[in-house]
Amino acid sequence: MNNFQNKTKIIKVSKLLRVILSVGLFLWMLAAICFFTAIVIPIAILPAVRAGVHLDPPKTYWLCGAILCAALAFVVNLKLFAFFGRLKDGHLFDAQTVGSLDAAGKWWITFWILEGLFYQIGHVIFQIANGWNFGGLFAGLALIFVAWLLKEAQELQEEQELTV
Amino acid sequence: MPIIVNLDVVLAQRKMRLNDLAAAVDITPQNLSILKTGKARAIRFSTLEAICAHLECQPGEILEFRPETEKKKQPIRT
Repeated sequence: MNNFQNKTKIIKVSKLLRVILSVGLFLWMLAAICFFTAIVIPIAILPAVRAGVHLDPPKTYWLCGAILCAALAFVVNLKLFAFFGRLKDGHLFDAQTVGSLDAAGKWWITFWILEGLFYQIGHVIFQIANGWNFGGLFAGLALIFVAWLLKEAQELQEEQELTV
Repeated sequence: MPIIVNLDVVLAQRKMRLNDLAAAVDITPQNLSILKTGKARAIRFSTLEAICAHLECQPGEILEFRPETEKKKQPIRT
């Protein structure tokens, strides 16, 4: 009975976290649409706007890097959204759930590496302020480690299910 | 898997169906099917006891050890 109550609590918390993530994803997509519609597309298409904005190399570099980093951060959120979606449906220890969390960790590390390259290259060439830290690396590694633990739990559950 | 389950052989010898055995030993037919088809990873002693009691057989009649092929065997080093 205690196990069943714990599972119910996990499902309830997962539902809440998934709602928070879904609001975040929605706002993210909205911000991306507004950003592209109001800024990127006019600059790319209209020469008058491009001339007025005075896009020098540092600004262009910052803009491209920010778009790339934002896209990767969106993918990380999407993977976490998928993970909590699986938990909400009661699939605690199965391959897809573990895969979602593992993917989120790997994408987070990829995002950290790209962010680091962006800041280092920008700092050296364009003197952009270096805002890089190790937070993303630790977060990604933590997710991968937890996914590894969940994989062990998944194998134990499979063994239990196949014990007659 | 080196452990072979011969439950279907014993059932055929006793002219009994899997569902009847499942009802008699209070195990679901699905679990017994997992055992019969060799997909089970482990069997509890209580389950083995119930099956052997109902089929009036020894565990050795249901479970058989068949070692792996010769070329995969590693020599025992002392």
